[in-house]
Amino acid sequence: MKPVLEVDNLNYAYDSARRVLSDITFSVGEGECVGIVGANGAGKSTLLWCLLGLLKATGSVRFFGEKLGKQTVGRIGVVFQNPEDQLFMPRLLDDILLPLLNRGLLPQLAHERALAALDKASLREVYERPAAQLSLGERKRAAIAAALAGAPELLLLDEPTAELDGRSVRRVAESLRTLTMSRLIASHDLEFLRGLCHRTLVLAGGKIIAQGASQEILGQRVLLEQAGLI
Amino acid sequence: MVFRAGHESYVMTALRVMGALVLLVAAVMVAVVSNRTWLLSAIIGGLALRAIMEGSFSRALRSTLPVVIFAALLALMQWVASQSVSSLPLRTIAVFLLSACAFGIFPWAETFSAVRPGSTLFALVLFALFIRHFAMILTSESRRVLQARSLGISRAYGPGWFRSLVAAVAALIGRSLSRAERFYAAQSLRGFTE
Repeated sequence: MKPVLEVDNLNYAYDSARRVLSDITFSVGEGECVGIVGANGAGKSTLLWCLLGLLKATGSVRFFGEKLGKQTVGRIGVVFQNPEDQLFMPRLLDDILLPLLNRGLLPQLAHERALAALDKASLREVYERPAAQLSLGERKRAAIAAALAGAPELLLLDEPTAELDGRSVRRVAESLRTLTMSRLIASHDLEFLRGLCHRTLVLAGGKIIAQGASQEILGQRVLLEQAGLI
Repeated sequence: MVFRAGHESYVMTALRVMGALVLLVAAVMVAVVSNRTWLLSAIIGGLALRAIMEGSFSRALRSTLPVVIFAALLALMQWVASQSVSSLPLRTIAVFLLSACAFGIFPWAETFSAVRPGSTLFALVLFALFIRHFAMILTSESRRVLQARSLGISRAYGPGWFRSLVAAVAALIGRSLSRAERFYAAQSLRGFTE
């Protein structure tokens, strides 16, 4: 499987006394869905921020063999834990449209694509409303739709199911399952990852303590206890 | 125009644009006025308008509280430094109220749809939307933190009321900064901050 994302020996510390990530090495293959599981404070979000270059870490992050930088980061779709960090326009449609227009797409084409993305996320009927007026589940799906509208080659999701009820979790899972691009999902929702990810990495204390097929990794009770997940 | 937002008539949209512009001009004028009667009138007018827009006077007051606290600190520092207080704190509150009303009235969706992507006007509208979002972050965080404080203290002016207020304002700054940082990060990844 051709690697889309290769992370090699990534280290990050907020200061010399607080090392957050140590020797992180993994890869994500083409079309592969990889989960990062870890307890609160394990370093999942920090890892995603480091991958995107929002935090300056040491080590190497390669995207299709190229060093990840300003040129390549635009090909990655990102869904933040809090959708309010991403959605700020007066209408939901504008939030989806904006990155498309910003890339120079013709307005009519951008409009069609945005509506298609909203259709896929079952949000067509609320597209005139601002994101702030939607339920959390709808906002999460909207953030995913906004990320997908740009046709990314890799999708990074930070805690996509945090604070969602069971039905919303299922809807988010359904919308992610049908995707064909590579996905990297940070979450502590074990059931969600089990049903969605081909492989799972277990992060504890800023280190990857195990990685392998999701069914196998997420079935190891001792390992999950060690990682503070159960 | 490529497509039109909402179901609002053009007349209504034009009225909202004019109303917002009048309020913005008033905010600029208030920033250079030092007559306290005028400033107080602007504050009362701004508060009344905010109350109408929010549908509740107490909500309008609550969302103005962080700015009032900031202005009070400013007045205190001026008094400590020179034993006199200028009209700057009042101006701060008045400018905030009038600008907040202008931002609330302005037809953002219609304007965004009407401007040509990539144009200077587009960038200006986007910039204004960023500011609007930052203002909304500040407002929503101030509501949450003051709500949390009111749940934590049983008597409004009982022991610890001032300490809890200072801690709430400090927490508000920290929370707003962290949310603003996340928002900036999200937008920079979408390529809007260059």
